[in-house]
Amino acid sequence: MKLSGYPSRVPPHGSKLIAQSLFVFLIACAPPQQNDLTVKLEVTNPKVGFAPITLTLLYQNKPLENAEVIVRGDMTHAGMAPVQQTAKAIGNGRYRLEAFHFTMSGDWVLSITAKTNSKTLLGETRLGVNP
Amino acid sequence: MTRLDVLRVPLLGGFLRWRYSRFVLQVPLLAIALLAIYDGFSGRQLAPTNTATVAVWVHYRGLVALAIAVFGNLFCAACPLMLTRGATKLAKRFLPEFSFPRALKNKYLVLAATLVFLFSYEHFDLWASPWLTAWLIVGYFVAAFFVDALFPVGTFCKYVCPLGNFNFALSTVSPTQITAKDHNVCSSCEGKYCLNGRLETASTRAPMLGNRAEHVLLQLEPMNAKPLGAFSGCETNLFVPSISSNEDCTLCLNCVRACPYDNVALEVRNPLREALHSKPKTDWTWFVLLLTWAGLLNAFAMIPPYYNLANWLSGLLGTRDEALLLALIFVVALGLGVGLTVLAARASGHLRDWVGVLYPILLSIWGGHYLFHFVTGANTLYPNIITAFMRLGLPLEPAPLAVTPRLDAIFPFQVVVTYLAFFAGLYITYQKASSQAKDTRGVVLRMLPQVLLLLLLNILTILIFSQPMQARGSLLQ
Repeated sequence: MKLSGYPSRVPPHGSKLIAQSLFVFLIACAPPQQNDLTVKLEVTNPKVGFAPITLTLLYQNKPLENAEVIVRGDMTHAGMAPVQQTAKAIGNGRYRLEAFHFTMSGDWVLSITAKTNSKTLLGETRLGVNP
Repeated sequence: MTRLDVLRVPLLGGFLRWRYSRFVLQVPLLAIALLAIYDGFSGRQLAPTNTATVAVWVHYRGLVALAIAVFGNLFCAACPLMLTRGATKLAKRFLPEFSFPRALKNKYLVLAATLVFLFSYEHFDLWASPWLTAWLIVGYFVAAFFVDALFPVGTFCKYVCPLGNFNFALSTVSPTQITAKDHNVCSSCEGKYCLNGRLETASTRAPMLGNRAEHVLLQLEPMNAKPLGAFSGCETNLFVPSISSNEDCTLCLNCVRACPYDNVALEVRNPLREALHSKPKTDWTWFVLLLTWAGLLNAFAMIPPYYNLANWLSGLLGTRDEALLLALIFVVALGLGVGLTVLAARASGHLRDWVGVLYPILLSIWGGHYLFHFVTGANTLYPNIITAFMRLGLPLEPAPLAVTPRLDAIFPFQVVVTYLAFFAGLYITYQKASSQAKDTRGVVLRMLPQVLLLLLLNILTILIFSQPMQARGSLLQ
């Protein structure tokens, strides 16, 4: 589990502080993910099964138009089958998937590859899917 | 007399006997480990797309269980950590060698390390972090080097390594085991070479120098045809004629090469033989108990009821401290499971006599869980390796995305494996009870607690495997 963002009611112990400090130290050194795109996700109460999703893609703070957008969905856990679908442009930097297949509940990472005439741009967004 | 000896199988036997067979097996795993470290530190930090997380948490674990079920402890034999031995030997020239503390010469340190590992696995999401997974691999290499540099070689495998001891535990039901072909040959052996190693020249033979006590120098007959050279003995101090289980056997096959009488076999055995006949030490018994229930907990932590339980506990205790909640779940779940098992064993007799009943269940729980991930994600490693190679500058084309349909079909297989283990447990229970009791009533009374325990484990395992999996990074909603 990620360390909860909620304030703890239990005073931290020395060993816990050391463990958490070590964890933060290690994570702080992790390489940053290269994301060219700002991704805004619209999806209503995603559950296991098929769900429509809409993505708004911004590149350098401007809507990304006329791109070929491929969305790959992965679980945060390795060893789960990825899902890949192509999104349809609906204008103003928005792209729609009518029935994205969320095969499992849990934490999903949607990796967006947007190809334009001149370049390939990457983006990422995360969401939780309920059982 | 031994039954089928794998070492006599054409080609395979020759390969296994070959002095460098272990090295040949280790090199590919070392290459994957190095690539996993590189990708884990520098690649995309998304578990399914990184070699570190996919290789370690999907392929390694799945193949370990598979190899143990169909052959034996192959992954200890091919363990790349043991390639630190060269550096260890070098370091021993400069570092003092200590004897491993007597108080730690048991499985309790491994038991504690395993608990810490399993807790960290859940709490720090090791399965979701390529970065931490890479650190874990590095940590293993560093630990293997320093432990074996400062203490006698083999200390790490026997007394420290949670992975190796996990493999030993699952190997209790693997179908092969090292045995002596003829015990009379062993009783007249002057040097216990399988244990001590062998130094052989054209005219002399002696146990290898080191910290071993026996040093016999023989004048050999000139016609001696055994290979000349230095052959290490058992790294974990096993003496072949006294081996009755796979505990502590890394399948390094040093004993095979060290024996000048060609008296060591890798016997194909009844997978239940160890469960039926061996009486493990107390420390090993506790380790097996813990692993059995930890296997259930590990699988339970991947289904929605686990998160529901955590949320319920959070509300009940008024805390959102995830470490505390996780620790509570660990203590209560493992405590209850181990406690029930101890009670059942006490009702049937002695704990050490009855722990063998758990051996098949142990493999089925861990194997069933790991095989789910392996089958579901089997084809995700290759594209990640190609991506990592491309980042290293190799002129390769990206591998196509490995999209696998969700494999619900694995569930029937898990059910079959679970029931096989259940019936194997029943058989072991009956055999043990029959050998201990004098009449039918005694047999029934001894069997009853074990049957109830097996039923409980069987129901829990099937229930967990039947649930839809859920991979979540945070314990609480």
